[in-house]
Amino acid sequence: MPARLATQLAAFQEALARVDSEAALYELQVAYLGKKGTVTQLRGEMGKLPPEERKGFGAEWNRVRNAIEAALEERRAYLKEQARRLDLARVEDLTLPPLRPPAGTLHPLSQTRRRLSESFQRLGFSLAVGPHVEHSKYNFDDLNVPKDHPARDMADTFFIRPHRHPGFDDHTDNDAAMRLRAGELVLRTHTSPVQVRTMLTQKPPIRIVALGTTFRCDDDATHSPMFHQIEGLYVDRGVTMADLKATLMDFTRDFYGRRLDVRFRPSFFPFVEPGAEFDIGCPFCGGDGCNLCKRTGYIEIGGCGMVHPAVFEACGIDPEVYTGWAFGFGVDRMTMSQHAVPHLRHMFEGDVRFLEQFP
Amino acid sequence: MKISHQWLREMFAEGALDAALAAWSAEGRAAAYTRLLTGLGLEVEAVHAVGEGVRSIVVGEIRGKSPHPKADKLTVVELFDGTGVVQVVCGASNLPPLGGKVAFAPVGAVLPGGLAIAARELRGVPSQGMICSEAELEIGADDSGILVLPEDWRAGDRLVDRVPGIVDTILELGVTPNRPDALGHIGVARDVGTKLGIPLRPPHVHRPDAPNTPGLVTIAAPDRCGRYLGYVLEGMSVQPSPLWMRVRLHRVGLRAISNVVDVTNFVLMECGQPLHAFDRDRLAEGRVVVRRAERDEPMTTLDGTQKLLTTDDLVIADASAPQALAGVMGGAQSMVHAGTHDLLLEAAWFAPAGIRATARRHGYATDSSYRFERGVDHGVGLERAALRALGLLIELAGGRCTAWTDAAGDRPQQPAIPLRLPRVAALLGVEVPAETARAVLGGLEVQVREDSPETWTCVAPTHRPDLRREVDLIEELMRFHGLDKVPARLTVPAEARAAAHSDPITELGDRLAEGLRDAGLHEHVAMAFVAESKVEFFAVPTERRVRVENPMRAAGVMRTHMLPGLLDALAHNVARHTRPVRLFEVGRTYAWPERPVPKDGPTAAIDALLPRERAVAAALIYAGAKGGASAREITGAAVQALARVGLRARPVDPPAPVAHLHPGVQAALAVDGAVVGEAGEVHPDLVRAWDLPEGTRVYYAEIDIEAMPPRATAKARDLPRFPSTARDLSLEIPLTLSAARVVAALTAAAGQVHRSAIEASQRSDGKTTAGEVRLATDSFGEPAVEVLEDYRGAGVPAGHRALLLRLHYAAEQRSVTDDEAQALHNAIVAAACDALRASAPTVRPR
Repeated sequence: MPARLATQLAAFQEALARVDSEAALYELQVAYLGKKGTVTQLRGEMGKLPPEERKGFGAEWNRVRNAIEAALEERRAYLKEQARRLDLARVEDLTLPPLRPPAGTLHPLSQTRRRLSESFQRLGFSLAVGPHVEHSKYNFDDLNVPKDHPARDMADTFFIRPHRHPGFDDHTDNDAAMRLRAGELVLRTHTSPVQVRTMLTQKPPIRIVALGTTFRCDDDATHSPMFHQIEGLYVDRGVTMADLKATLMDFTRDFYGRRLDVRFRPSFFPFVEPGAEFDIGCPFCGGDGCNLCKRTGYIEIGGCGMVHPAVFEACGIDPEVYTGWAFGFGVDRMTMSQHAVPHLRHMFEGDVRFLEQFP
Repeated sequence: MKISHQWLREMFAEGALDAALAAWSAEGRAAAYTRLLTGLGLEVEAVHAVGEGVRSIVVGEIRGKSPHPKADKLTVVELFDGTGVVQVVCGASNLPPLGGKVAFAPVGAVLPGGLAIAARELRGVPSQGMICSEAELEIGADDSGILVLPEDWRAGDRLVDRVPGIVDTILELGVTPNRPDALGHIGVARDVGTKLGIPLRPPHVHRPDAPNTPGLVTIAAPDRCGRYLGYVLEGMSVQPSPLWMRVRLHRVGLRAISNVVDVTNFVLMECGQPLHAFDRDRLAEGRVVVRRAERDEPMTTLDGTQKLLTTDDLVIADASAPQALAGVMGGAQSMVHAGTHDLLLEAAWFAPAGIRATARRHGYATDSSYRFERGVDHGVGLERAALRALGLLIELAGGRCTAWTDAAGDRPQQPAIPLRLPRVAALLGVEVPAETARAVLGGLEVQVREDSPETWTCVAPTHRPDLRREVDLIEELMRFHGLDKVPARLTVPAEARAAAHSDPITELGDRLAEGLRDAGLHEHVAMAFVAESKVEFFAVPTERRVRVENPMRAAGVMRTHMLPGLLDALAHNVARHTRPVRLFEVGRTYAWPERPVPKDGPTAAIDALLPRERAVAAALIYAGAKGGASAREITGAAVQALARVGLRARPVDPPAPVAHLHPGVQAALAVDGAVVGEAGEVHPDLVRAWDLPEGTRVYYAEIDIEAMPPRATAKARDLPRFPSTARDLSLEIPLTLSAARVVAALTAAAGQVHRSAIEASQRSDGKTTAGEVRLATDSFGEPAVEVLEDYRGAGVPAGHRALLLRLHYAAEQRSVTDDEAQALHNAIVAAACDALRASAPTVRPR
């Protein structure tokens, strides 16, 4: 029996040397020390020994079992360490092109529009919208641009052919449409009709911005027939041009992250009086003079002024009680200068090689 | 509008302008003018210093002429320059005879164009300088020959001394439509003088000593012609104008023609008043009638084109026929020509809207119509312009005034405008002192009556038709006081303001855009108008398309769908590279509604006339030249974007096929059973129409933002405490039966089986079966039926496919046993197959 114990130990040690995985090690453990393992079975046969030999065999058996267990443990630790070393020896080049999920982008115009909208909402301006196809009453007449007035030449207008609902010729709903003349429906030439719509439907105080698509028949390297404008309107008691200046300065701080000077130059827009162009201190150089501001320290932004009393009257607001200001400017050129877009045409071509540049 | 500094100088006492300008600013003339005028609202767009190169030009006298020995076209001239005789080779054919005077650039001179004159040889003959043309001196347009000077000028005299003001500074002003007065030098000078505090000195005029002869002018349309001054001049001699006149006109961008025409143009630029001179001998009865044209009355204008007039056109006729299109252009018949002796000079005021309508109708935009449609002076300025012209005509063309008249029509009234000084501060936030106001209004020739220290009554001068109400005067005060003096001061402090809100449709569009961006698409912005040929594929009837009357690039229809713009962009990309193109756009589409749509609110009457504008988000996916995109990517992008706004959308069978998508590859996008959009493969006909490579597969989805149900706040569901058990099902179905319908049938069958089980148990023992096994739900409460695979390989009959599905079963308060799950599964599958076979008899489990 003790001889068999010794044989088993020798066989185990021989087998252990060949074990090269934890799974094989476990198999080996089961084969010798498992319920039906060969060494375990020898322990069961101890009863067959004469009693005087049992004690010595028991001690020997324990020794062998402990030796096997220790050897197994040592081998297991060795194998773990081997595996760890192997794992650590792996090399993968993470400077290879990263595997990205396809990345989409928002159009630079959208990004500017959102930033403008967020900025003005923080300054307490609600967003107002209006139709792109507009009636000349709201696009011109109520904005103090009468028919046959040269001020209409300030914007080359796209006209929309009026529509008559077929089969509804006698319908009263169709009456106005029947009376529509060519030239009364237009693609809005500016976002200003939203001013009129807002003043017709809301009571002061009114504090809105309108941001959107506008259209003029103009098509060259610096003009697109479709472009984008933002328009601000504030109407309340006691509103002054000083408030406009302060608000525009607050806007520059919010939008550009720095407080920039605002400068007014007298100008003419039929729906404001006094009217002005406004410049802001150059956001790129802070007013020191750079190429983008042509070394003047200022960049031209847009038009503004105090709402003309004729506009208030057209909208049913008493200009003796309320005053207000309005401003407007183009979003496209601002976007282009912000992102250094070299050509206007890039903006509307949809070339993915251009669009992907604005994450 | 080009404004000459020399001309402005003449509007003030000698030297007054230069002194005042220098005193106002030391920054130099160009910079001072720019700041001064731009600050007054007359934007200086450019400043040009002109004529510096003329300083070295002297009068030369021709002493000898001989042909060049080697060149037929060259002449060797002996020229006396006041000190000595030099030899000059000249190529001009209009050399005056001996004793004639020419403009001579001696060696060392630098011409205005930058040409430096040096001694040189021309075909072997030495030449000491150059005889110049007007064009070379940049004082005229004529480059056909040399400039011949008057014979009585003395050799050696400097040209700058002979033609004062030839060295000049030209300002290019951007004059806004409200300032017709600034379309002449007097008007600009009035602003400059008011700002600098120097009094205007209008040019001297000639008052005729002749009888008022009312028969000269008849105003038959007094509503269209407010005033008509007519002057008869006899014994005129039409010749070229003197050099100073020609230079002056050239400086402001006009071409010299003859003394008579030049004078009218000169006064146009000086006073901003268009004048017209008729050859009176060619006027029937030598008189004019201001009347509306007859219908289709013919007339030939002086540019030689024949026009048929309308009864809305105003004409200046003689006793029989139209001789001028009033305020727009003269007629050919009575135009001034070389043989003209007697003139009828017109200075008039025409109603602006009528001039504008006529000019537009006949396609004219003249210096004259430009000013009349903005409104010229009908008061003292009109008379001054006429008398100024009279004086110049007599000075330059001889003759005398023998008759005149001043005919009256309906002149605009100059309203009395109340001006409340405190209103200035109420509007602008800055006070203008009374003495400043007084000085400004005085300088502008506004009549002021000070009713009280704070309330004045003002009457604007006739040259300022834009000054109609109090705000107009306030703007004038501010222009001169300085808009830069407006402080920055909030009316209502920021913390006292009401909260701002966004626009719901804009907000939804923005969120969808973010969803589509996150799906790896790039946002595109396309033109809102497209060519008619590009909307023909879409199921919008011709009469519902919104048309542009005056399109550019033939894009005459407002887009009815977003697809054309995205396909244009795709074609642009495909022509340039082979990469995938994944684009989206959020914008509007346009169509007339099928029937009149009643509207509400104060803008309803107008809104009823407008087309419907639909807010739409659209996506396009093209895999690139390598291919490999699946149509399910487009439904994936759309469903993901909708998830971004809190909506669980699923593709379902389209309620009706969409014409612009492939008939077999399209789905509707549904949220809670309501269709919010469509997705599918772009119809192969469109792929061809956009000249994309044959076989290109493009996928497209469109979401109608306004059809989207409101977003509900997500509510959490408790997680299941007991595991569910899954059963797989392979179903053989026809190709045309959609997975959505199979899933719907299984879900419906599950509900039905479950209900009958409850009814059965209630019948037996009257208790509910809350712990009964049922089809499980997913995290969102939707029935847990997964579609695992769409198999179309071997073993499936033609026209069919095998759909592999997995159904999950669970009970509320316990685990499910295999047997009960299997029993329920079998019942559901049997019921679903029965239901599906009603329309697709070949459906069977595999």
